[in-house]
Amino acid sequence: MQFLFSDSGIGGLLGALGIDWKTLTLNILAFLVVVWVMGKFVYPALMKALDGKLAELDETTKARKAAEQQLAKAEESAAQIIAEARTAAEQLVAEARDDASALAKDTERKAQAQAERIVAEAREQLAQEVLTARHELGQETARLVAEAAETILQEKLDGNRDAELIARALEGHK
Amino acid sequence: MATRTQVADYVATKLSAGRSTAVREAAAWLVATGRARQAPYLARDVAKALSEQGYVYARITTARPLSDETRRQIEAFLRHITGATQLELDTQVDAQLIGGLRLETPTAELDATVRRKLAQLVEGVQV
Repeated sequence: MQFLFSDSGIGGLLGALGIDWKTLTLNILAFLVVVWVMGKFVYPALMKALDGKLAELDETTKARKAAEQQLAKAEESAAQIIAEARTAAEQLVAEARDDASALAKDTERKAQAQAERIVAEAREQLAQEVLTARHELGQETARLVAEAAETILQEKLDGNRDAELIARALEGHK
Repeated sequence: MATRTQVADYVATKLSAGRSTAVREAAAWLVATGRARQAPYLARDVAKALSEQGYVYARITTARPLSDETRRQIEAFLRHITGATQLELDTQVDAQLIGGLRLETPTAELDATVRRKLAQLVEGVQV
């Protein structure tokens, strides 16, 4: 130490440099005190805080990763559901289209059958009306013929012919 | 109590003796027994009884008055059909018949009129 602080050793060197070895020593001591204080009180707390922050970051990172994984799973599940729903919807649409087509064909068939039935009934009714009209015409004709015959006979049938008529009737019923 | 047939036989027998008396007795019987509504049936029964005894009543309806010849023909016809020994003819004229005759007895009827034939002509078409 004396060597150090002699004028011919480091002390002289320090003096040449303008450094006061007492001040330097005090600074070094102060520095050491500061380091010790820092190491004793500040650094642990700081490290503790940093560790806490790091832990929080880790937790956050883990949570983020977990959330990302859940999101991915949810998206995958949603995509699957959508795909299944789309498939089901397409199937329903196809079935509805088939049902509609079958219904349309059935309706057309029934309409056709009803139309044919109506036509058949109309034909039958027409035939019946023709028959009735013919019958009535026949009756009317017979009535007119009878009236005409009556008129003619009243004019033409004299006493002699009437007597012959009676004689023939009596002969026919014997 | 006497039946209607028995009364009819009685009246038929009594008619030859006196028509009005027999008719009055028949009417009295109908009223007394409460069978006034059966008068037509009694008349028919009397006619039937008379015909069984050989007496026939006939109503003849023609379009013109009967000639003697035609009347004889009708009488001959009735005698042939009924076997009657006595005939009573009631002749009527109905121009609506046009021609022929309608013969009605208590048990039978013959319609040989022209009108009937024309009616049959029309009926034949209706059937």
